[in-house]
Amino acid sequence: MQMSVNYLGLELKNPLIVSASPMSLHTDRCRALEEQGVSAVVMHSLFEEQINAELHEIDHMLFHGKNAFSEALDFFPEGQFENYETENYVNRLRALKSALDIPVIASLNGVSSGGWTRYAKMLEDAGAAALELNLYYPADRAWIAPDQIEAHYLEAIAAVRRETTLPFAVKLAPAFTALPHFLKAAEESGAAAAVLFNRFYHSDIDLEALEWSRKLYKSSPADFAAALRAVAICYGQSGLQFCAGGGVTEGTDIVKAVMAGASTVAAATVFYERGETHAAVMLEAAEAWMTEHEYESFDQMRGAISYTKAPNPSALERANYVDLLRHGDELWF
Amino acid sequence: MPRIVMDANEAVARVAFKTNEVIAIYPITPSSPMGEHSDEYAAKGDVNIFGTVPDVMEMQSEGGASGAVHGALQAGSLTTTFTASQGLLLMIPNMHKIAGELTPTVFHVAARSLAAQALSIFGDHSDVMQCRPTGFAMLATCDAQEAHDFALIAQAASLQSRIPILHFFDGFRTSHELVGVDTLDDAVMKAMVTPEMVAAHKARALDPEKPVLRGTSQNPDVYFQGRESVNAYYDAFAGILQEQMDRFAALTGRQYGLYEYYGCANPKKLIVIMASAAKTVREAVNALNGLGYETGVLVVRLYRPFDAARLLNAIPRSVESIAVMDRTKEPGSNGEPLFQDVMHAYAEAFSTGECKQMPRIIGGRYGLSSKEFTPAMVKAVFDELKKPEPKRRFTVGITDDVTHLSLDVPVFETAGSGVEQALFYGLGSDGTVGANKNSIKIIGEEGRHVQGYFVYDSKKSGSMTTSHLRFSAEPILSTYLIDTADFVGVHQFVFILKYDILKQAKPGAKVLINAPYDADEVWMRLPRIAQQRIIEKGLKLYTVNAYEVAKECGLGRRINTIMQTCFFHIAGVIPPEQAIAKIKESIEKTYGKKGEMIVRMNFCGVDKAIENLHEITVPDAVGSGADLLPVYKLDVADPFLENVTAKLEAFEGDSVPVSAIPVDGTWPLGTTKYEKREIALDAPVWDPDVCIQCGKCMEVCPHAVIRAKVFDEALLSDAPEGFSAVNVKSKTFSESERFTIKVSVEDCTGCSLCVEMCPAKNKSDLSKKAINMAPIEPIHDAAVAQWDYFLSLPEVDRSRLDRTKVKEAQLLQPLFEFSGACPGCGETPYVKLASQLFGDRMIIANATGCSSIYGGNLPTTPWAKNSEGRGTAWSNSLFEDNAEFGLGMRASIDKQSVFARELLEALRGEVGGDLTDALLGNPQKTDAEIARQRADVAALEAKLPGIDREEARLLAGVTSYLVRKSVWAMGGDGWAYDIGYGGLDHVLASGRNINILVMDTQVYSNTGGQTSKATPVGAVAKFSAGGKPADAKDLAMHALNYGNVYVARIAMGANDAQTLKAFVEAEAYEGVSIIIAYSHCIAHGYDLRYGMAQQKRAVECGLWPLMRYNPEKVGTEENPFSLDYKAPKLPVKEYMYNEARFKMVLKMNAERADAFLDAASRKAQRDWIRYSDLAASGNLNLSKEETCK
Repeated sequence: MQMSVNYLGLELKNPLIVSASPMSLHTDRCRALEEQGVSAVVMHSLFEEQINAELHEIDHMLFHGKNAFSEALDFFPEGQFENYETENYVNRLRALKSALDIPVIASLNGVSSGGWTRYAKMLEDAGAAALELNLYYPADRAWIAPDQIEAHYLEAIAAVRRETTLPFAVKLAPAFTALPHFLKAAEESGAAAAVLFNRFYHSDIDLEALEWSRKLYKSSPADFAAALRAVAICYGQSGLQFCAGGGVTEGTDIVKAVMAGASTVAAATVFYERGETHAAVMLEAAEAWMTEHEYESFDQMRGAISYTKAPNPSALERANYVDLLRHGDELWF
Repeated sequence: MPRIVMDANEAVARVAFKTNEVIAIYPITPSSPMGEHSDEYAAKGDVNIFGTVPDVMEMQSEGGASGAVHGALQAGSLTTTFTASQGLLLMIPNMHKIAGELTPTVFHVAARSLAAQALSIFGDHSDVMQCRPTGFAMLATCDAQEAHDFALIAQAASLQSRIPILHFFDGFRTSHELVGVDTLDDAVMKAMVTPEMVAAHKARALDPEKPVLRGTSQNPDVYFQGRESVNAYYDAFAGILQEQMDRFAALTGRQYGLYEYYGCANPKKLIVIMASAAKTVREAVNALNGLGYETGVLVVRLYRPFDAARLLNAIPRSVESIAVMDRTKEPGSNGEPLFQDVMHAYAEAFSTGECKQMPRIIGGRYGLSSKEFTPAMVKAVFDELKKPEPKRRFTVGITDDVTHLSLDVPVFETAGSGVEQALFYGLGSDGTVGANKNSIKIIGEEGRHVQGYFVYDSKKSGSMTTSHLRFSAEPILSTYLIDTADFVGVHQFVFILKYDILKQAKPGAKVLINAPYDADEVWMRLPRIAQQRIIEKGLKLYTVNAYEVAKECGLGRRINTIMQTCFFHIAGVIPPEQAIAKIKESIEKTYGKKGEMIVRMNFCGVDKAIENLHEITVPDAVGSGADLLPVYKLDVADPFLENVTAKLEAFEGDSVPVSAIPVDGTWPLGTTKYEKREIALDAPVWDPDVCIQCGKCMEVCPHAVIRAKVFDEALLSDAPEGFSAVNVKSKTFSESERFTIKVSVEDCTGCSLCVEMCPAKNKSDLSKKAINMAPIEPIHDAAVAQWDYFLSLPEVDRSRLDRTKVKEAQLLQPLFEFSGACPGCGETPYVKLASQLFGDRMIIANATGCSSIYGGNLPTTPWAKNSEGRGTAWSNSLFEDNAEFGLGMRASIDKQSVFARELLEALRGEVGGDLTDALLGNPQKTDAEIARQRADVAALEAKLPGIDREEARLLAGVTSYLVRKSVWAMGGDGWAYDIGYGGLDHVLASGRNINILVMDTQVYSNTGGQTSKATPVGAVAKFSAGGKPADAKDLAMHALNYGNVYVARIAMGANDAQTLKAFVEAEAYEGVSIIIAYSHCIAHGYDLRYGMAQQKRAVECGLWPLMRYNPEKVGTEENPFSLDYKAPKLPVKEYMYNEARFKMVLKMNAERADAFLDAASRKAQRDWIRYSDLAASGNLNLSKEETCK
């Protein structure tokens, strides 16, 4: 049985990787996951906003109220700042790299065409095995057209491509009008893989404070369907590799994802909920299924049930939706 | 070692740090940076020439610092301190001791005025002259280079001679003036401060291994001899000092003398002078001698021990007349100190025959409180000496039309050939000064001689800064402000609309204006006088819309790099390309480590600046430019305000004659209201439909620009258009009355605290509240008209209001308005609240600090009077004595009140029993009772003239004391926790009816954020560069220990009702009351619009426990202890990490930051247990027992 896969130029011992999450803040847990068989760790994201907010904070510390009044020409001692978010991130990356034998993939989350993309180079220099580029631009203005947003994403991808020689994946939100088309363009701009999909904080209204509040709902098995379907549809339409994530819980999910076209499967919530040992459980289940169904490798099954190869592609089409509506009563009541 | 651009504070600190082992510090302007630099060096781990990091220790006062210095010296360490002004006065007792024990040390003093008729932070020699009898040697230096060198020479001379030295230089002019300094390296310092000298000092240390007794009490038999035993040391000092100067010269090539003469070979006229002004005299002498004068100047470096022989020897024999110039005043003396010393030297030499001819010697005062001293004034002095009968005593630099001592000053300029001069007008927050400091460094590094001096105005918000920059191939001697410049930079367009700035442009000068307009629109926007100046002087005019560029580059409102780039591009001081490369290099150097984005934004500013710089073609004739805007909008005929205050506002204070100035420091109230500074871009706008009339917006407004009134509906008939008013949501008022809120947009600073505090949300648009910020320009005129009408409406009758309710208390007229405090200030809302509640019968002792500056820094005061002419009587004594100052006021008022009551009782028959009983029996606790008492006093005053008794005549002088006065001692935590703590404690123990308001900003805010004992654990502050390791002192708990003191800890943003209760209860309590008020501050490092929200977080996380203890309730069924907060539930991190002062630690050392968070959490829990225990028991004594159990 050949469990190994190639993803972002890395030879991974199997498709199960740890998705970008606070898990990477805990070396011991990552180490335990490695022992339980995961093949790579994607670090939590270094956010553009995080970098910018920090710089503005520093700017405030340096300049606010300075040279304005004769008795108080400044308000703080001159400090030697070192502990920057970026430095912390790099240090974390280095700590993980030295503690783990499996590859560590750094994650960069940004959207503007500003200088944050230069941090890709910094992460490369710090020893990241590959990068995950998390793109999200809130479409919150009526005058911003979808093609502008997509163009913006592609510029960011190209900018990162210019900064680093590392292969990188783009991690996307589920809301794309024409995902296969975009992914084709993303590949042309320099991406090597796509991670489907990103998860967001959820917004809610606090009815007492009369303001928005933020919540983070962890992924659930139901979320996995969206990634699975998207991978299946997009696979083969570009040279991109795929990582399916969100709601991955069982070993059979690994099999499903690879069959849909994924190279890797990313999970985190399930490890928080069931412990690191669940990684081994998942891998064993996947291997058992492969043995039972006489698959020799993941490469063999990759994309076997993708959109173009599926025995029943209509299940992924509008007809499937119509069919579900027709039998809605049976499903819901 | 390289030449580095720095000021004397830094120049001295570098050497003092290197050559000492213990440094005891305490902040005081203008010497604070010496301590701050030392603390920063130590925090970085820099070592001294002996290879160890000196122990830099902040003390609770300068008295404490000098005590610590004395102790450290006695225990054998090389020790120093830095101070100025009142701080130096507090050191005098120890200076006598240190000198009496022949202990080597050097005190470095940025010489500053003393508080007399007023405090002044600026430079003169009033402070150091008080130290003449201490036994310290006194050395004066003229600039940062000399100060740097003398810090070392003095250390060596003191160690060798055993005479302690006071090294002084002029506050601000030298302490803050940037010049190029050839720095000393460790090898030179080690060569000067030899191991033998150090060993000799240490050998005298108190040491149990070789014990001695020092500091005895001596009796008539030996004390006198003991005093005389040191004479030989003083006799030897001048020689030793010169020897050290010569050694220094051998090492560095810079030769100094004790008394240095400059001028022509055979001068007839001579000026004797010390410190920075000596350079100006040298410059004037050079110029005058070129015009045929025969003049010279003797620069005095060694002032004590005064070496008459060497001084006379340094003066050319040809001198016929001498003017001795003192930068101090000793009222009632026969002349100022240096004058007397020189006169005495000559008189003695003449009487003994050593001097054959006695020159005419006159004495003059100059430059008090950094008053300008220019070459023209020097010429005036020499011209006076030419007269057959010159004034024996004179002043120069002012117009004395009372005693006519002042000299007329001719028009005379010296600087010119080869010296380029540039003037820049900026706003405090726009980075102009920072950019100019940087430009000076860039030009200095190119090998030019440079000088940068910066002038700030008296406000903490919206203040104008003026940068005076000089560049030259030759050394610059001009230690005075630039009068006319080759380059004038106007960094804020409003300044050219208000002031005749271009008066200061030389003919043909280049003028750069930051204008928020297109280039072709700028000319027509200029006022007429500016257009005239440009045409008449042939000025070259350039403009850039720097705010637009800054916005484009993400620089916000910081235009520093943009304006700096334009300056270099236009001025041609160094080739523009080279300058731009240097600016970028400097940006990299300054911000490289701080973050790439900041570097990139600033690079963008540099690049875009030139693209947006335009030269304006100047028309041949003046267009239809407007008049200058008024800087003081007086709408009353008040000669004093017209002739004095208005001139000060127009920066013409130097022209105000002596006769116009109050003789005793007494100034009128209510003068900020004419300033109309218009510094905000956005101002609050009231939405009456959403408003719930809670009063919170008014309550938190630091500048009293938001106000409400309730008035009769009929008064609306004359109201201007758009004057909104609604029904009153209160049963206190009738249905025919209306409520309105109005905003003085001309006085607003745009801080937005009001919007953040407003609890009322627009139900259909939750982004809006009942008060919302809006751009001022479109609403300006209507808002001004409405404000004026609002002011004309009658104030609400105080007796109708329940002042324990926030919404009604906020209808009381503030008698503290439009201060110059920072936008969003956390202190002034409390001060204003006190003024609303008690302002018409309040007397305030105000400790030196922020509140004394925004309260009493001329030209104006925010303290105001009501329509009856009543208001707050306010005074500032010192920093350290404020509680005692207030207690003295209380005692005085009590005495006169008792006396008045005694006299009234004695006159009962004549006054009438009913009126007497009414006056003596009125409790005066409510506004209605106060009003009745005032009416009764008026009735009494009407009767007294008709009573022919001595008691009646005496009573007439004290009737005012029959009205209850509210005595307050106010100040910050630097006063209450540190320097004034001893006095505060005494007042707490006094049992007298005095109210103490501690506005706790948790640092010394006024002097730039130094650590106090109120600074919380984990906060970065000056002198706690790595974060304060210890908890703040619990001042409330200390006061509680007395049991009979009313104690409240409050935070308006957390619980404004509790704040109000505390003020009312404290004032009503017939004993000592102390209120400790959380005051957010610019020194906390965040946008102060969120100040009140941060106060709430401070309470919710348990780091600011709200409580009140009212001794009046002891023995009643009510619990005297009110716990006004709940168990901490918010993690301390969510409070602390909103503020740079805490978050900086995270940037420096994450582990330490974690430890601080942990310590803060534990403190919050500990305080909760402690205070909830007190609340549970109610009785403080019982509580102790409970705790023991």
